[in-house]
Formats: sequence, structure tokens, C-alpha cells
Amino acid sequence: MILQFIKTNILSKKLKNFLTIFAIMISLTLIICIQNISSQLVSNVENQTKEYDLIVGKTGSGIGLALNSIFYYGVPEGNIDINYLEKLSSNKYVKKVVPIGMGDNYRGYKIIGTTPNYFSGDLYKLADGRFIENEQEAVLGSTIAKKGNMKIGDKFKSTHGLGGATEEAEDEDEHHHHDFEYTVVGILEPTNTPNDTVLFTTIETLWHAHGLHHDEDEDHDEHEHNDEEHEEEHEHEEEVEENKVLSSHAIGGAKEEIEDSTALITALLIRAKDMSSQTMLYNELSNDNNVQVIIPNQALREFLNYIKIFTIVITLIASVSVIISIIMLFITMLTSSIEQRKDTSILRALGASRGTIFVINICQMLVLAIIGVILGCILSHVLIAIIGNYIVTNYGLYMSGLVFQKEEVFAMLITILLSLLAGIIPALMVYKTDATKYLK
Amino acid sequence: MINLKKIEMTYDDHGTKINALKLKELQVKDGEKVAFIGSSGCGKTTLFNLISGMLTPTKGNVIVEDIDITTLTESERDLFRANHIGYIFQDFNLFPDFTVLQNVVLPMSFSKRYSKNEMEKEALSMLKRVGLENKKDQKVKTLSGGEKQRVAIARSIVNKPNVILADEPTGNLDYKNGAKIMDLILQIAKEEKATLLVITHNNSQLELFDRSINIEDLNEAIK
Ligand SMILES: Nc1ncnc2c1ncn2[C@@H]1O[C@H](COP(=O)(O)OP(=O)(O)OP(=O)(O)O)[C@@H](O)[C@H]1O
Ligand SMILES: [Mg+2]
Repeated sequence: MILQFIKTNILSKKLKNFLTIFAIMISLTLIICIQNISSQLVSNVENQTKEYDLIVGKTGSGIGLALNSIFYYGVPEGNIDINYLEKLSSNKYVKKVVPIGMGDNYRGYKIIGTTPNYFSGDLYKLADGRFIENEQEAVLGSTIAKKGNMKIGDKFKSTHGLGGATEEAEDEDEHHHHDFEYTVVGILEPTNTPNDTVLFTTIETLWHAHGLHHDEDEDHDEHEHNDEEHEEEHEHEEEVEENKVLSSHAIGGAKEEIEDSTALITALLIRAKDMSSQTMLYNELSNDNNVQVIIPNQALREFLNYIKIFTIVITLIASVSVIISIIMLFITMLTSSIEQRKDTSILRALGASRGTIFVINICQMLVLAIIGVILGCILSHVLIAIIGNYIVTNYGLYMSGLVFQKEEVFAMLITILLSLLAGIIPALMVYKTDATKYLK
Repeated sequence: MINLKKIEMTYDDHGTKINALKLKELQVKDGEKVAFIGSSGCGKTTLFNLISGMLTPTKGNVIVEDIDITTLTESERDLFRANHIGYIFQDFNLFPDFTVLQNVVLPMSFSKRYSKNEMEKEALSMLKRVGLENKKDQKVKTLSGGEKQRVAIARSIVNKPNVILADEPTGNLDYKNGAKIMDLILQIAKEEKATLLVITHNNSQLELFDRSINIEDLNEAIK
């Protein structure tokens, strides 16, 4: 009955209690959202960058190169000479070097051309099948496999261009389809990273798709790229014309002649042997004007710093908002405790002890705070999911509404505690009420 | 049996002492129906609050049902009140947003007399006695004054009190309704074999009681 009393009492003052709950909910939402999003961003970036010490790419924006080669975000500046792959493979400072190429998509998802050693290390785990070994094989990110309902052994054709989610809906006939098929050999486990939304194939497959080699036809004069359909790489294409270099590459064991050596290596990911190797390599590559070299951590640090400053500012604002809503709550409780004097006196006349009345008051506060906190938690994660969805489609950084953090639980507990504190003084006032004064 | 001996009640209103009540002796026998009269401010409500244990006297003893309630702790007095005293007020003092039934059930959670299952059954039978069982699920704020006071009467007896205190129960009702309510209170007190103390300003009601006491005459503090 006392619970019933609390319930009816709360329901009978709907507007005031709604405002209290609303205030708690909004401030908590703000705090949870900002903390959760920024920590997901930061851990996302840190996780993805720890595998490689250096990235080599075409001269241009450092952050652009980092985002492009680590998060597959955006359009690459251009391609680099394949000689770098060979040179670096045999460099004494290098432990591991992996090429990355992009230029095709499947239903708007980027196809990343690379070598099998890209998957060594613990960043990639298979849910099914195996990693790529041969040409025209593909390993799918988990989201793609799930959305397309694809399984091992399935075949598909790729489309020219970098795709991007927006292209998905467009009329496919407008795109240049490559006429050979990929076979799905593996599906990655969900990782909550950009890896979920790309496909991996061998880099030779991409070259092949673009008619760059494998024809045994060395007089292949003009490669038959249709310029109109090659918008993203248009700029670089002109360069290509004047810049044909004959070179060889040592991937998959076969040495093959390629005429367009600058095609389709958008970046080289490098793991140095140790710290000093990293420095040596960095200095060596920095002197080369044809390429830029970046340290992914450093390149993204600026980006991370923005996030961190942004987080601090928003957290401060949110904290002020929490304090304001707690004060609001305090005032609400105070005014209602004055209104409640009469109710309290009636309860006392009916035989309720001061203790019971104190408990009733604190419980009411607690119920409001808990409802506010739960709603805040739900609302914030819905918002994170929405914002996350936007960030995934626009920036390639992965974010989920289902990631919960212990800081959140902490913020929730603090909010409940502060609400209780705000409720205690009014509850004590009610506790002390001289019941006989308010009865008539 | 209610027995007040050498009672003095002094209020402390932010430092100023107000001598509200000083009685040599007052006795009411079990089952007796007594009307209390006297001009405004003469200490009638103060007396009731002393009997119910809402107040403790500055001096003297209040003995109700053979218990000297001035020796009890505050929470013991609260429990005593829940079990032995039924209060009826001029302003009804119900919870307007609660249903009729909820209002009647409420004091049962303080008396610890009933189990959860018994509560509603008991409350319903009380509502039957005041003729309101058909309005049990209606919110109290939708009732008329007379109906509200009947809810309050039902509420006052759910814990089977030995003493019913009614402080101007007809003060907010018109003449006709007031008469009906006073009849109901007397009838219920008789059925319950409870001692009934009623404060009233309506002299025409006095003949309904065993006797009437003018506090103005008894109270030495205002002489
Ligand atoms: N809580 C209190 N604090 C200070 N003084 C009080 C308090 N309650 C009552 N008094 C004073 O004690 C005196 C007796 O008050 P009480 O309420 O008992 O009178 P009453 O006979 O019930 O009057 P009425 O017929 O108007 O209800 C009055 O002078 C009143 O001002
Ligand atoms: Mg009075």
C-alpha cells in the first residue's frame, strides 16, 4: 500500500514529475552520448592504427591518407609507383609491408585489394571460410555478408568506382561492370570497425580487373579505361599517360610486366622492425618527393585531439546541465515538500511514523531519478546509434549504439546519488513537520 | 477509558511560549459519547491531539486504554494511534487523487493489523456500512462533501479503534448533510463500541450525546 501510495502520488503530479524526469533524462543523455561516442571514436582509431607504424601514399593530406588507408574513408589522392612495394619488401628496417589498392566496388562497398599477409596479426578473424590466396577470391566484411545474405562459394561481379553507400541505390546499368566473377572464400567476424563494410581481394585481382596485366599481351597499348567512368581518378589518369614505367612486381611469386606501374597501389602499410627502424624508414621516405610517409598515430593525433577537446567541452556543458537539473529537482522537491506538509500530516494522524514518511519521500525521489536515468540511457543509445549510422556512412568510422561503458554506469549512479542528495533536504524538512499545524 | 491528569500544554512558537491548555482532570468512560464545545482557540483541538498522541503534554499524563502514552516513544505513539485512534476532520483530509478504496485502505498499512489480502476485503465492508461501496473506484476529488466525510468515517474505523475523535466533522457541510453525517458517526461508534469524542459548534446536536463538556470552563490556562 505504501508503494501504491508512492505510485499514485507520483502519477497525480504528472507535469511536475515529468519535468523532473525530463531534466534528469536530458542531462544524462548528453553526458552518455558524448562520452560514449568519443571513446568509441578514440578506441576505434587507436585499435586500427596499432597494427602499422608507417603508411606510404601519394603526396597530399596526411590525415586523408590515414583515413583512407586505415578506415577506407574517402577518395585516395592517387596511386604510387609499384617499385616502392618491391623496394620496401627488401628493406632491412621493414618487418612487414602490405599494399592496399582500391578502385572497384560491389554494390557500393569498397573492394580492397591487398596481399594475404594483410590478415596476419589479430585484427582479423574469420567467421567462416579462409583468407584470400588466389586471384578472384574475396573475403567479405561481416555486414556485407549479412546484408547480402552471402555465403562461401557465392559468386559476384564488381563495379568500377569507389562506391560509397550512396551509389548503392543508383541504376547499375550506368556503371561499368567488370566481366569476371569473384568467388567468396571467407567471411570476417563482426568487428565493429570499417572492416565490416569492405571486401578484400588480392591486389592482382584489381589490376586484372582493370586490364593492367595478365594478358600476356605486352603491347597492350592504351589501357581501355573509359575516362568518363573514372572520375575519381581522373586527375591521376592524366599523369599516368606521361608516366608509364615498366616495372615488375614480386607478388604471388610471379614476376609480371605491367605497363601502368602507378595503377592501384593507393598505399603501403608498413610495420617496422623496431622503434629505431621506424625512425630510419621515416627519414628515408620523407626525402622522397614522389610520396608522403605518415605515422598513423601521429597523423590521427590531431584528429583525436579535436575529439578530446570537443569531449571535454561538451562534458563540461553537460555537467553544468546536470547540476542545473539537480537544482531544479531540489526546488521541485522543496516546493512539493511544502505542498506535502498537509499530506504528511494526514499520514501522521493515520498512524504513519516520521521514518515511514521519510522513506516515502526518498522513494518518490528515487523512482523519479531511476526513471529519468533509464530513459536517459535508452535515449542516449538510440541517439548514438543514429549518429553512429551517420558516421559510418559518411566517415567510415564505425560506431554502435549497443556499446555500453562502465563510465556510463558510473554517470548513472552519480546522477541517482545526486538526485537523492537533492531529495534528502526536502525529505528531512517533511520529516520534521509538526503535523498538528496543518490539520483542520 | 480516557484519563487526563494535571495536563499542561505549552506551545513554543519560535521562542514565544503559548499556554494553550491546563486541565486538572478529565475522564471519559469506555463507550461514552461526549461532545466538546467552547469558543475558538480555547484548546479543543489541542486536547484531541494530546489524546491521540500527536502532541505530548508539557506536564501531566495522558492515559488511553490503560496505556500512559506520555511514556511511549514517538514511534510507539504512532503505532498506538494507528491501532487505537480513529480521526475524522472538518476538512475531511482525504487524498483527492486516490480512489475511495485506496483512501480507506491507507491507514491499514500503518496498523500492522491486517495481511495484504484482508485489507481490501475489510475496507470494502467498511464502505458498505457508509453506503459507498458502489463508488469505491471513483477518485475522492469527484465526490460531494457529504460523500467525502463518509469516506473519512469509513477510513477512521478500518483499524477497529477504541476511540474515535471527530474535530468539527459537520463544519463544512450544510445543515441537512451535517445532521446525516452526525447520525452516521454516532451509529458507527455504537456498532463499534468505540468511545466517541466530537468537537462541535452546533448546539442542536448536543442532545445526541451522553454529555457535553465546555473546554472554556475547564481550561485554566485561559482564565
Ligand atoms: N502548533 C501551534 N503552535 C503555537 N500555538 C498553537 C498551535 N496550535 C494551537 N496553538 C494555540 O493554542 C491555542 C488553542 O488552539 P486550538 O487549536 O486547540 O483551539 P481550538 O479550540 O481547537 O479552536 P478552534 O475552535 O478555532 O478550532 C490557540 O491560542 C492557538 O493559537
Ligand atoms: Mg480546533
